[in-house]
Amino acid sequence: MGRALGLVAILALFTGLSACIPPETECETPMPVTIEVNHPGFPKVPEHPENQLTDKGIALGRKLYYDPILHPEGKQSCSSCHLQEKSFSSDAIVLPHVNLGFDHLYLWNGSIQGSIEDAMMFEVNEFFKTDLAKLNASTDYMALFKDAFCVDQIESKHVAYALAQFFKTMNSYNAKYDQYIRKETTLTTEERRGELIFFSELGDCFHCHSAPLFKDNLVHNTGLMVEYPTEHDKGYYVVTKNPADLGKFKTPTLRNVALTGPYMHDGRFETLEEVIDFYSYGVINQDNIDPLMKQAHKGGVALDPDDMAALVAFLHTLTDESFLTNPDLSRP
Amino acid sequence: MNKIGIARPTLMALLSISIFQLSSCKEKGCTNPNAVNYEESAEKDDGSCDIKSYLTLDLKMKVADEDLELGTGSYTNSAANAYKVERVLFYLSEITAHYQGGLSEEIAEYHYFDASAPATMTLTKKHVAQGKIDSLTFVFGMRGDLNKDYALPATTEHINMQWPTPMGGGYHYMKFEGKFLGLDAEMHNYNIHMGRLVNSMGSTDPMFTLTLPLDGKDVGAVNFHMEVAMDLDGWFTGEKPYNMEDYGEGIMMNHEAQALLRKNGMNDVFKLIKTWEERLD
Repeated sequence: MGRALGLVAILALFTGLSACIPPETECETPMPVTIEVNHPGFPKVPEHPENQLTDKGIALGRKLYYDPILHPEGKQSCSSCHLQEKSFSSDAIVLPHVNLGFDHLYLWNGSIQGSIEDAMMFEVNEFFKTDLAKLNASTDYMALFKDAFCVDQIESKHVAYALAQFFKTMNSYNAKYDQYIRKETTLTTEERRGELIFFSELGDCFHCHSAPLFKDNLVHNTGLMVEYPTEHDKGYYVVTKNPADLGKFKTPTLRNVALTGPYMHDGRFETLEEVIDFYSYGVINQDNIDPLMKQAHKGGVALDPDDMAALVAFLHTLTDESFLTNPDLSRP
Repeated sequence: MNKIGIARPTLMALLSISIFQLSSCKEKGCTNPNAVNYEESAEKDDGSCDIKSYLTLDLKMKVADEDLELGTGSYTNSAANAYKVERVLFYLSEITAHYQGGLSEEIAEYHYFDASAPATMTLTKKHVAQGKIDSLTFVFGMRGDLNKDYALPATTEHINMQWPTPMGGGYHYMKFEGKFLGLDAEMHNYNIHMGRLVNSMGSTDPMFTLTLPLDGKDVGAVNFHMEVAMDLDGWFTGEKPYNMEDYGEGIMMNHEAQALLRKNGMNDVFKLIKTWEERLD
């Protein structure tokens, strides 16, 4: 009895001490880094409590972005449909991967909500249905994940977190328009006219395509259709099942918009001119239409050909060549 | 000395040490989260809690004194426009409680309200002075350094409230949007967007300051709630009613509409509904 009591006392002493001592880590966590976007009005790159940015995490995310290993049969990678020279979009109807780390609403119908980490969890688990066994069988990836996340077993969240880190570096803020805002260059007379149309109720683009991201992280019905024949056409309704949300879609960014056609959720417009013509004369007034759609009862904002041309010229000032050719974002 | 070779006093000492070390991870302090000296890590209250006053502004959206039914309610204004409300976003700034004796407490430098997001419709300033409050004042919109490009943190809400540089810059004071039935029997969109308009036609700033009397309400160690209504009907009501038919679907470039809304807004929009106290202990 006495021996047992003595042992309990010693055990209690040990337990009491160890309860106040943090556990030791098994490997060295890489140094965190920060992504600075030095441009007026740009938000800070969001932080995630479990996913601190590191050089190793970003590099791993970049490698994964271009690697078809994410696909169970190795048939496609992110980069198969998201080409850098097209602002990480393509002729397929996909939203461009630009400044996506700032969003909290993803996919055309806004069905993924939260951080870019949450969006990447969807991509890994639902879109690609990544076979984690393949990654865990790769000595190359095992070493890279160990370096980046200090893990011996690769889980889907580690894949998602690495991708999210790379996405947070895919930032465009050096288009001609950005340089104009920073007073590094000037716009032509036609581009200035286009700017006024864009940033006033003449064209009223800015309420949804808010600078500097040129999107608002919201869903809107812009009067594209009154019937919704496919599930994809129903938009945000798929999320809420509220009939008032039929035909509401996430506002796509207009950064590099001259390169990201075809346009709209169904890719119905090939050119910017067709899009502007729709907003001028093709809008369908209906119960669900967003109040921001000016003159919807008359078909739209009725820009004349000169104003349409000016607006197109302005939209071309949102093309960021340095983003399209950034070597840090290219195939590693 | 016992069978395992540890003397009884030594054994007792070991037990005491182990108990002490187990309990030493439990901190004592103030465990009331409403207190000035609340310690999140404290697990046992030591009676030291120091509770001061809280001031809370609760904004209630109304239409002609009835609760706003966003998206579903049908209303008719004093200009006989039949309308529905789909979105109301706005800023108040310099929200300040004024005490007898000259003391004042700023509840918020500025605040963004979204009628569809209840969490944005209430704001609390903790740990303020106790005393008799004479009035609540605030600015509809923003002035000075706050109302210029990129002055507010670049959150989604503030970015989406920006008032474009070509029209004066800064921020929308309010976005009040919906649909109305036009004289042509068609549904029209309306966008009552207020902000400081500067263009070749001149400059109009619809910002205004309001004072709501509180008649020397004595505020002790409680959370003192001030319920204030923004009555949307008031924007249309005044010497000259605001008629949606006259001003069309967007008024951001319309000096006359901005000035009329300011005039109507100063009189009939913001009202004190009631005050009440919430215990903090």
